Amino acid sequence: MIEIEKIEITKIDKNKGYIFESKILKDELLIYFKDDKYYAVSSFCPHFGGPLEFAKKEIRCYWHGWKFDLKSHKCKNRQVNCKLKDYKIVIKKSILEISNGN
Amino acid sequence: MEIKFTIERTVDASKDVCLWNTWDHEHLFYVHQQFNSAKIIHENATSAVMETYIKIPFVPKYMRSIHCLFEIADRNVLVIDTMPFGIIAQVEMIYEVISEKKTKLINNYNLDVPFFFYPAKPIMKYFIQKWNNINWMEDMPLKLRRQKAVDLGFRDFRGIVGSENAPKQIVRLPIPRSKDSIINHGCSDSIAID
Repeated sequence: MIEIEKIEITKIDKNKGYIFESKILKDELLIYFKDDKYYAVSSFCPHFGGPLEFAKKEIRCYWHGWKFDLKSHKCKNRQVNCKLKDYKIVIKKSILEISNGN
Repeated sequence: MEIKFTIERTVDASKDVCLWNTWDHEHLFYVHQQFNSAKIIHENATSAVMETYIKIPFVPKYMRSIHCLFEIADRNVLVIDTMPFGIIAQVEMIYEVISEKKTKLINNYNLDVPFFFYPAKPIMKYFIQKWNNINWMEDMPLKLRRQKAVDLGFRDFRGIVGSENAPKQIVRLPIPRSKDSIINHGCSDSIAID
């Protein structure tokens, strides 16, 4: 079932990203802006669930030093087939509609 | 000379979450300021041996220490540390389940120290308690977040995949690691994930 979370675009800090807990999607989301596009991913590191943070060149987890690509969301510093859980984003006026649909 | 004391604390996390934290050796290097290096020498389903470099009061550089962890009855843990200056620390870590998401951790310390440390016994006890407290505070966010993740249906190396009502992930030793885990070298028993 496709669920949609709505959030005002003004909440997104383009330097730090924005983290919030979505009751609708049952996940904690990290939303960030990169190269004229918004992205939404689960803020739980897929490794052991550590907190992900948005950095200029990557997404990082301080628990074990894992780093993820900002666009492909694949882990880029460990030899492991692991990527972030990502969500679809549709922009409607000043609202981001984040969904678990493809 | 022996120094014995007990430290008890309670955390809002399950026993499994606490055990995961204890057996996740890699985070020592990344999370704890008192560790400068952490390397797994051996691990299997019931034990682990690690080499770390730790910060000791009044010593300007990190010093080598060996830690041996053994799973004992009820999945509790016995840790034997060989520390600098001839100190051997034995710590029995008892995880007492208070409720599904609340655990009491009882650390029974038994230190074997050379006789010349005898005058410093109260100071040593003070510093070990302080050391324990710093580690506890640094670990607290990990335990709480791990509990939150597990509650949302988290699976190691996969992320949030299940529903809140799905069976909770149980810690199995050794915990999984990436093939190139920076402290995984030489551990043939480790479970490597592709």
